[in-house]
Amino acid sequence: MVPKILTVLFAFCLAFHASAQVPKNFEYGPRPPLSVFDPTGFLNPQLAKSISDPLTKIYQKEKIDVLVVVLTDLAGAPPEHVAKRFAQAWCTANIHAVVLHVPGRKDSPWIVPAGKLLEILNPKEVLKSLEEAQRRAAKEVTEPDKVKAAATEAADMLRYWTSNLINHSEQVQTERSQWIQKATEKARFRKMGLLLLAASTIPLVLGASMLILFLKNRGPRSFPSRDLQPRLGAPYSGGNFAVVKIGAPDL
Amino acid sequence: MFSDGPPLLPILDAVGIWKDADIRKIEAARGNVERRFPQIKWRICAVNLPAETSLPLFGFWLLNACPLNPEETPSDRSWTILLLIDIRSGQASITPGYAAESCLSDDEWQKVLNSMATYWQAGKTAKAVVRFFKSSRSELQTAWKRYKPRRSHR
Amino acid sequence: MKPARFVLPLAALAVLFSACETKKTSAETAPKKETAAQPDTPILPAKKGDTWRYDVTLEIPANTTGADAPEVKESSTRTRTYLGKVSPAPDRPEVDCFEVITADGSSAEREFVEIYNDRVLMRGSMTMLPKATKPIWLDRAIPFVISGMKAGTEMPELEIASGGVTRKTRVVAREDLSVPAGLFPCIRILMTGKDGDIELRRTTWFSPGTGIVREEKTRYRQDKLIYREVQQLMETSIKRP
Repeated sequence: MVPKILTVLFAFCLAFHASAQVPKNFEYGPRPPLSVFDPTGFLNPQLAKSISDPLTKIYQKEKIDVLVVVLTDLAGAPPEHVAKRFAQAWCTANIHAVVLHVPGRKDSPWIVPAGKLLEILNPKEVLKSLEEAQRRAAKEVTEPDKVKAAATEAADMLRYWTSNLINHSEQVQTERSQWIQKATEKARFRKMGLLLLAASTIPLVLGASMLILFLKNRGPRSFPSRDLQPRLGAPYSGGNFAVVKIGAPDL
Repeated sequence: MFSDGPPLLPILDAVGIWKDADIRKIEAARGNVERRFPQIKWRICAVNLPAETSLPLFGFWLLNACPLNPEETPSDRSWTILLLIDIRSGQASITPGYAAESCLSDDEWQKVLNSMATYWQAGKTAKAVVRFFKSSRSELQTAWKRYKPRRSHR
Repeated sequence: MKPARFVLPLAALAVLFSACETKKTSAETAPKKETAAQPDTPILPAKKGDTWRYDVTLEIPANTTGADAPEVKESSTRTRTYLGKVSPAPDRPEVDCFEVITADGSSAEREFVEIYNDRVLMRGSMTMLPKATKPIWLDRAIPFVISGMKAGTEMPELEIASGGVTRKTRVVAREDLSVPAGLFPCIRILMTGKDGDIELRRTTWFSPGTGIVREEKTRYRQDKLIYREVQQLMETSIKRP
């Protein structure tokens, strides 16, 4: 009983969440559980599963979303426009693609990538890869095979671009860190050099000061002269009272 | 009164107490002080005076009676300090010339003379005189600082 | 002398201060060092006589081999055997050689590579059966797989103008793949290019330490698929490290 209630509640929450994402005016409703939307059953279930399973795995592991949409008619709208409407309604990943196929159209299927990461990529490279992928997919013999090939091409393309961007940003980060480290080390060495220079001048200054002082102190001293006043008729000395008994030497 | 005195040699060893090596030591010490205080001339005399002779008086007579040496001027003589040591009485005295009188006081000279006693009594007579010169230099240095012109007053 | 009294302690303080500052700066800006792990090596520890057996499905659309030619859909097995060092021709050096034979023995091909501890380079190939051909030999070895290859990496594009040969190789992903021989961590490599008027697309799942685990080859000519082959590893004698 309890697990059943929980399941119902869980399903309700999922549906609520899904429906909350869908724009009000999207006529196809919420995104289906599989990565393949084929309301008319153009693709046989086995083929649909063989397309959907790897795409689901890729989305779960790498958050790269490839959605396959098979419509009977585009109602005159350009394929890219229709694909982008599906992407806006059903895709939230930073990089995603819609593989749109209209049975009977010779220029179908179309691979329409979108997402924030796409804005960083080189548009010429993106266009070149898209053209090659679509061309190869179109060479398949049957239309279902074309759809499958296009889905594989789209997934390969998106996975490569995403990893390439990550590698590039890691490289930039590494180079930036290395540059910062080099700049910091340079500044540190410069600072140390200046400090050493400053520190080395201290003993020099000290030494010079001491040398000057020493040389000054080494110089002769002189007492001031004064007027001599001879006493007792003595020409050179007036005598003194400095007498000390120093004892007899022990010779 | 002050005539007919003997020549006043820098070191006069009238009693033969010092050997040549001792004389050289004493000369070196004397030269050291004279380089620092070139004004002051030093004379050392070791004598054996009769018992009744007053050492200061003898020194007074010696400094005044001895004729000037050929290169000596009256000013040199008045800047002379005579160290007189009497072997018989075991006394030492200082007789300064007029000009040298004001360098040190009697008390300071007595302090200098007392510094000789230990070595003298131990028989190291030359060393005692060397000690005398060292002590004199020290006291004169201190006295000179009192006299040196102060820069702050310039 | 007075100023010198202050200079010395000030200098000492300055040195201490700068030492502390430097430590802090170094800690803040030092890049995170990642240890250079080499989990993919040895990339292919093959011994003479080692074998890899594949299950192969081949599709050739109708009218490809000739007008009214029927569609071909076949399954077979293929065995790849490491022969050791072999010279493809008298004027060529000895290199590592794999012989690839179909189950019925109707076709045999030799693949010439250079195997190092951390990489496998392509050197050439040669058909042995049904008829021996002159070996295709690359003067400069081309990297096939390198240890540590990251998803999003592209190899230098190869172009041989004379033969109209171009090759572009990209690493699409690193993923685990389940095949009849087991579950293998793989490098998924996508090679696209041209051999004259034939366009090719080849996805290889290479498991370091094991070898090719799965391969999907498609060839196109004049806007048509002419050939699709899928091979999956059934069993191998090579011991995974």
